[in-house]
Amino acid sequence: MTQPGENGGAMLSIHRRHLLAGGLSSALLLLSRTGLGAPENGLLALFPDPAAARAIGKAFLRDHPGEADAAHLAAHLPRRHRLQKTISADFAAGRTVMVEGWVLSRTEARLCALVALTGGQPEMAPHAG
Amino acid sequence: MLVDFRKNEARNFDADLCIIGAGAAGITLARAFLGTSTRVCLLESGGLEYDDDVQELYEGENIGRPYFELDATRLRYFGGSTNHWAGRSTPLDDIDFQHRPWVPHSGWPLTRADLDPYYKKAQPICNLGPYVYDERVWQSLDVKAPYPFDADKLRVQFWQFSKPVVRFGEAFHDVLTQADNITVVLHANVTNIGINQAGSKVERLDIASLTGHTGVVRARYFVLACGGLENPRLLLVSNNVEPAGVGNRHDLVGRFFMEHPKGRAGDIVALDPYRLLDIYRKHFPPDSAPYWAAFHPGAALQRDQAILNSSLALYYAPEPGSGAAALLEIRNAHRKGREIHDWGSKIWRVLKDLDVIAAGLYRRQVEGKAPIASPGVLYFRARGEQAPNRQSRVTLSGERDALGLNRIALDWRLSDIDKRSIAVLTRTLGEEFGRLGLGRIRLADWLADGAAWPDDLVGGNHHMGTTRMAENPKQGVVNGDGRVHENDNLYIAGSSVFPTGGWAPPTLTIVALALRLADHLKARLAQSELALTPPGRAPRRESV
Repeated sequence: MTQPGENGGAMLSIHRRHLLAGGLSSALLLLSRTGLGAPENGLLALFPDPAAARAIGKAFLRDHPGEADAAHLAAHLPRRHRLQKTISADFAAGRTVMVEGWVLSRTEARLCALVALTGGQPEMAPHAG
Repeated sequence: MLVDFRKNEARNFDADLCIIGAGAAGITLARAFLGTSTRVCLLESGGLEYDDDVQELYEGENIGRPYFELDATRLRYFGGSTNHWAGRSTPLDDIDFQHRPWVPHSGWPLTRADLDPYYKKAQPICNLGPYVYDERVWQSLDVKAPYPFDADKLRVQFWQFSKPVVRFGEAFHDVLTQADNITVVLHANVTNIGINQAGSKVERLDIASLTGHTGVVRARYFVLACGGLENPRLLLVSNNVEPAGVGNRHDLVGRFFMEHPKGRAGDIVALDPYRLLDIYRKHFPPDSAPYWAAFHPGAALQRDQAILNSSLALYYAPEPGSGAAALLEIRNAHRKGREIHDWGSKIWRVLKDLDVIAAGLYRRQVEGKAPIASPGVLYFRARGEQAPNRQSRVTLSGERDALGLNRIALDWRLSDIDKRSIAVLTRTLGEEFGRLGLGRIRLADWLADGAAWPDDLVGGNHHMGTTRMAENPKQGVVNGDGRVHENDNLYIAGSSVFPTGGWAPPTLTIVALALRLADHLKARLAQSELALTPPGRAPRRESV
């Protein structure tokens, strides 16, 4: 069902250098290098490979064809500085979706869907900013 | 006293209490009568050591879901399956004892509060620490401020690990065999439970050794304590008076076989993997039993989502091909007595990664934390509750063993709710991970709607439910005391009496229930002593 590299699977490893250091700072180094440590980047941070985000987005749109409209998606996405708060609020309120097995906030899924529709250039979409 | 029945030291035995099976339940029960005047006869099919010929009596056929070989999932010698017990222990939850309208056939005829005093007494018997399994454990582990998961949805309960793992046979051999009132009979296999014509009382047990010796055991009370696969077998093969077998007037014996389905439920992308591992992996405090936290659904979530109780525990897997993975392969092969393939390559991989392996060993040995010694992945492994299911069952097969008894066929079946419960729990944990900013969780493919159970799904070698407990004889083989409904002097001990199994490994509950049964039997024995004693005379004291 899910192809390696398309679902963020490569992100699951803890790398050797961080094991040796063994501390939070090193883990954060890993996260920042991969993008995981930049929460304002939302799901794009979780899936630094745009192909993975696109795959998630396509899967979401397959399950929710009514959302396949870039303008609609952009209209439902918060401004960049509010993204992380919106995502947290989604989880708290149970506004979550399952995409390829991932438990994601609805906002994250829509962000991926936007990436899928715009070819990985969300800033090109209307209202994304 | 210790008797080897193969040597035919005594053909027949007479006792107040005869216990069939010297595993966790049988030995606990016998121990409870140490220092009393009750004459106890403890029958064991095997000897003091493993024996292929004896173990072969456990062979059987799996005709349902793939399952462990039936002669490998349990052990047949003194100490029973505690001889390969991993020591993982936790009590059943309050809700596990309750009738849950969304779980057909749920509900015990006793409560957790009824069993609490016995759980406490079971702790030291099982080489466990204090009877504390809830979030108070964090303090004793010196873990500061674990993450604030929503308690209505998720709860944390700990496992404790028997340290050192108590092998009941080794641990209690001396005290039992040296007791004046206890006779341990080795190599004595029950071949028939002889009941009276009314089926209301056991009059005798027929026993036989693999060397051809036969004999009879008579007692006032009998306790069947041979495990969740053998207990129904012995009841079913004892069919010369009751054609369906002893205790089986309502076609319940052997039905409702339950396990704890176990599988990898979700992979984790963690924002702070080290903190997660430090908190939720196994802890090794220097002066107590090891602890390991497990997530399980709160009662509210179980009710709201109509799911079973299940658990998720955090695991860490070294990257395939790494030195740590090689070390793990070597350790597992050693533990299981298997041949180690490709020694040279494995040793080279270990040497190459010696620095990270050393870092992991430092964590384990010096810091008392789980070793993390290689690049790897984090994931959750589920241990699920299985709903009672009449079609999941043990029956007699046409094959016979060396003693002429029918072997068993196990038809293990799972239900949709078993899988859905794990899926809901994993998804809920995923939502909580998102809410708390801990990372994201991806559910395993087999948890998707409509997906099949994974081929590599295993159980926990936990055999439950096949002589279930209920107050209504139409719903259970034994009553709340563990007595076979239609029989006045036959009791059953062990996990076969569990009407539901929660997610807790059964051994601690088996021991607690055996202690409770001991109290009940002592009261009955005392009552009958008084009834036998003429006014003005002291109660009769019996000798061995």
